[in-house]
Amino acid sequence: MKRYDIIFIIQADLPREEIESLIENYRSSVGDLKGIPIKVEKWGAKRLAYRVNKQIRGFYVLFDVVGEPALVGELERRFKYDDKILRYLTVRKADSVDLKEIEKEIAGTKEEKTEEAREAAEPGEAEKENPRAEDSNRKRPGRKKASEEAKPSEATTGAE
Amino acid sequence: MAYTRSSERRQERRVYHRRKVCRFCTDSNMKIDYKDPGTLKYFVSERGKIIPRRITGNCAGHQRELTIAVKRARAIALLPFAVSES
Repeated sequence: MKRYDIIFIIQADLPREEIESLIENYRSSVGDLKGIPIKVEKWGAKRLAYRVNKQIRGFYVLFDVVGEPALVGELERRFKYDDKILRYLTVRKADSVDLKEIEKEIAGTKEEKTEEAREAAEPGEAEKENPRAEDSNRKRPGRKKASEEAKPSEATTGAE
Repeated sequence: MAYTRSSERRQERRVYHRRKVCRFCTDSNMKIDYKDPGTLKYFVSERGKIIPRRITGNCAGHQRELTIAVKRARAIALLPFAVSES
């Protein structure tokens, strides 16, 4: 069993329910293919860096999954035949996994959902427990930028 | 003759030399993640090219990680392959 990050982009101009059902559909097919979905992250509709199939926006979804390599093959095959999927990318995160750890993590992510409200007030525990999750969840758009806005300009001016 | 030339060169160097450090080595909470275009875009030029490490000062290991991350981000349209002029 290996651990994968599977990211795919759904057409953003579909009705919301259809997107949701599509995600649910793929999530359950992970189960059918003997995989374990650890978490499903919906990043929402984002602007694409370039046009894909004449679309300028896409709905990003991230699956964090444990499974056999065959699972990835089958899932990617389905993505390929699905016109609503603009892009997909699978990254192997770990070659072997400890199933007990995974169970813990799944329990952890479930807790996190309820904790999220509290987290804002007192950051700490949840972050330690699952650094990857919090990393991709929150750092992305906001927090990081602010602290770095100052430094990078230096790097780029050095270039000229 | 040879002496003066070498001293000139040294002077020149002093003017341009600036110590650069790898930002990922100094700042431990900065991570290279292909899902995070916010960080990656500082290592990409306006045209969308990856900035060489001779300019950014990244260490070899981190630069290697970075290029992979940028390429992955491009694959899922988080970063552009190229930005056209105008």
